[in-house]
Amino acid sequence: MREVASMLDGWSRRQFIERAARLSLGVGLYAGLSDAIAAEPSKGDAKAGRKAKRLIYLYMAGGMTHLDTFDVKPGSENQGQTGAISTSVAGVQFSEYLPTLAAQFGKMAVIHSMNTETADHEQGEYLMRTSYEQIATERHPSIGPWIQKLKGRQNKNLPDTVTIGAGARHPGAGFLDPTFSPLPIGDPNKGLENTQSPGYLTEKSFEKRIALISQFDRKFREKYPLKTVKSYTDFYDEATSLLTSGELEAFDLGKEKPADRDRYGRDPFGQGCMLARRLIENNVRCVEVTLGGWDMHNTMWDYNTLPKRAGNLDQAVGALLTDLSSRGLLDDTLVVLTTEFGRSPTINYNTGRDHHPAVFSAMLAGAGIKGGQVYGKSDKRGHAVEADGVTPADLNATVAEALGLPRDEIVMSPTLRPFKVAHDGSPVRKILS
Amino acid sequence: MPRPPPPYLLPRPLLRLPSPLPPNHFLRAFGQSDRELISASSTMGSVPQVLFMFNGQVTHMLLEKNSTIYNNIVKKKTISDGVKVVFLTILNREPDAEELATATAQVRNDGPAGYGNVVWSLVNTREFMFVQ
Repeated sequence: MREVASMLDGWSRRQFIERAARLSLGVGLYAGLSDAIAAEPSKGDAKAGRKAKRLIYLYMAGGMTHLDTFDVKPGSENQGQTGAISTSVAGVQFSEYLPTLAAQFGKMAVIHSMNTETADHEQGEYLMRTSYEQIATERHPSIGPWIQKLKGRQNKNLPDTVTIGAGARHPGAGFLDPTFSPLPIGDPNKGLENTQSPGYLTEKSFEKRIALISQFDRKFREKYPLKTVKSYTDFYDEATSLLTSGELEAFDLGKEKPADRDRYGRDPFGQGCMLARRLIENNVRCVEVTLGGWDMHNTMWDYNTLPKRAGNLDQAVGALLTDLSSRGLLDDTLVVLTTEFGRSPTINYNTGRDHHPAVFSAMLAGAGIKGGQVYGKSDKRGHAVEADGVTPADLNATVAEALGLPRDEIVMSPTLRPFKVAHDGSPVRKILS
Repeated sequence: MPRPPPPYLLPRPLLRLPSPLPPNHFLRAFGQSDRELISASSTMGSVPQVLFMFNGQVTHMLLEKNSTIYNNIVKKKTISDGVKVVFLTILNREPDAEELATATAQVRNDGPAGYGNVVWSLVNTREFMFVQ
C-alpha cells in the first residue's frame, strides 16, 4: 500500500533538484509542475464600447511576402512579376493574387509597417504568437489560453481554443493551467479524431461501459483522493459530455454542402477556414488556422509557389469574410492575419525572396476594427518602415484591446515571473473602432 | 481483412521509435515532448487523451481477435478464470469478490461482448492510468 501510494506522488529526480534549488538558492529551474499561478486584480483598462467576443487567428507560417500580397510597390524594380490591382477603396492596391480580398478591403485594416527583430522562423513565430522572446525556462501562452485565463471559460462542452494545422511549435497554454490547452486538429477534413465509437456500440451500451468504469474504479478513487487523480476524472467527465452532447457536429465538415466547401477551396487551409467558421458559430472563442509554405526562397513565381499559395489565401479568407459578414458573425468576431516576418524586396539569385524582418504586413478585420484603411507605411522599395512602426507585441495589444482584455493585468507564472497578455505592446488606436 | 495498423504502431524497440512522433500520435497526446524546448514533455491530462482511451486504435487492438489478452481469455475454461486473466493483464491484480461478480455478470449476459466491456472499462479506470 505504501509503495503504491509513493508511486502516485513520488518526485522525479528533476523535481527533487528543482525543489531543492528553490529552497536553498531561491531559484526555479523550470516551469510546469507548480500550480501557483497568481493574478493581480484588473485595473479595468478596457473601455466601454463594442468589443469582439471571438477571434479567428490566421497564421501565415514561413514568412508571408508583403510585396506580393498586401503591400505592392508598382513600378519598383523589386516588384518582380507580381502585378497590382485596385481595391474597393480608391488609392489602395493589393497584389493581383488577392482579387477577392481586394474587393472586400472595406472590411479590413491592413498594417504596412509591421517589424520585428528576428529573421529566424521559430523565434519569429513564437514572438508573434506570445509577444515574448523565447527563453529556455518558461513557455509563454498563446492568445487563446490568455483569453480563457483573463475572461474565464466560455463553453461547457466544446473547448475555448482550437488550433487547426498548427504543428508542434505552437506554444499552446504555455505556463497556464494545462486544461486551457488548445484542442489541436491536424486535418480539418477529419475533424476531432477518436470520437467515433465502434459500430457495435449503441448509445445504451456506451452508458453501460461508463457506469462500469465507475464501478471498477470506485475503491481506487476513494483510497487515493489526489489532485492528479481527480483531474483525470474531470477530463473523463468532459470527454463524456463532449461525446454525448451532440456538439461534436461542430467539428464535422461533412455537414456542409459540397458547393459551400468548394467556395473555400478544398486545400487544408480552405477547409480549415470553413471549420473555423463552424466552430465560431458554435461559440468556440478562439480558432487559429495555419497556412504554411510561405518560405519562398526559390522560383517563387512558379505556379505551385506564390500564385497557388496566395490563391489559397485569397479564396479561403475571402469566403470566410463573406460568410461571417452575411451571417452577422463579423459584428462580434475579430479576424487577424499575420506572419513571423516579411520577405526581402530584393529578388535573390534563385528568383525567390529571403527572410526580411525590417518590414512586413498584417491584416485585421471584423469586430472592433475600423475597416477600409491602411495603417503605417513602408518605404518605396518595401525595405524598411517609413512611418508608424508596429511590433508583434503592438499587434497583440491591438487584438487584446479589440477583445476587451485587461492588458495591464499581471499573471504570475509558476516560477513567479510576471507576464501580461501583450507584454509591453501598445495598441494601434487608429484602426480600432 | 482487418486494416493493418499504421507503421508507427508496429512493435519495435523503443530506441527505434522516431522522435518526436507525429502530433496526433498516442504518445504525443500523453505528453511526449515535441523536442522544441527542454522539458517540453508533460504529465498533464487532456480530453484528447481520454478520447484515445475510449476509441483509439490501441484500445481497439486490445479487443481484436488474436490480441494477447483475447488469446489468454479463450484458453480459460470458466468465466471467473477468464475475468481473473483480464484483471491480471490490465491491473496486475486479481479482482475482489464484488468486482468478480460484476464482471462475471457482464460476460454471462453479453457473452464475448461482455469481456469487451470489462477490458474497455478497466483500461479506462484511474487505477490503470496511475498504477500500471
